[in-house]
Amino acid sequence: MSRVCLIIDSKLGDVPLAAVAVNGICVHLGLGKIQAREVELCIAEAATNTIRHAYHGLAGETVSIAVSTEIDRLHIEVCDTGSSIPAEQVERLIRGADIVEIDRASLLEGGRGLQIIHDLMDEVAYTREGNLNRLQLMKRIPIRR
Amino acid sequence: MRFEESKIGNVFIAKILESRITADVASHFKQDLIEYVAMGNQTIVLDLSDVTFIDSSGLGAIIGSLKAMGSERELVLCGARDAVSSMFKLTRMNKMFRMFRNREEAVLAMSCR
Repeated sequence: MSRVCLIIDSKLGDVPLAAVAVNGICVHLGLGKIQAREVELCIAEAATNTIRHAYHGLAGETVSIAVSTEIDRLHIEVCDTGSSIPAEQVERLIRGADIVEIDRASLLEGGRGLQIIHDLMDEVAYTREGNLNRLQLMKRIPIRR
Repeated sequence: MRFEESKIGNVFIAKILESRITADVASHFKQDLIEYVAMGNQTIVLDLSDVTFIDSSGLGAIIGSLKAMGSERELVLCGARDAVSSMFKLTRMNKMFRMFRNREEAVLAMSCR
């Protein structure tokens, strides 16, 4: 299993660096442009969520993004040591949720990140072990022949 | 955020001159859009043709601006590339925004109102 780990400071401005790097890894592994961009988006959403909610927007903490591969799978782990994800948000991440927005007034400006991850990744899991939050994502990749 | 601003008739056009609208710039981006709303523009066309990546925070800024327009005024989008268009479809925001292929189509449609 090949594995690479990216570590960024908990600053929103550093998130694109990691997200774009993972996109490049995905393309190298044979994912199409669209799938690679979907993974990039999920990394951006996961890391942003970590910085905003686990670390409450404070810089100086660590967000680690590990990417590993099997023959037909891309695994991504986004880890932090901040606050855990609330249970109802974990539910949205794992099972998805129907966001009801029927008109302009009912539109929500935020809260879409976890739903996007749920919708775009093939498998999603979240665990809290001690003070470590671990978000595990899996995307199937085409097998090279 | 950098914009190119223009006006054709009563339609105000703001073209975003950035390739990424992400969480780190979303609050400034929203402030800029809200200023265009506060200037009293009745119809705003947001030209996304230079944007290659948008996350949910960037999307949220555009949604916030739409809400700030109220029910009488219009904020429409044009020039969305595949990656941006996919984000609107994924979140079903393509049902909430009028989206045009390019600014000419957007201006024509909004000038006919």
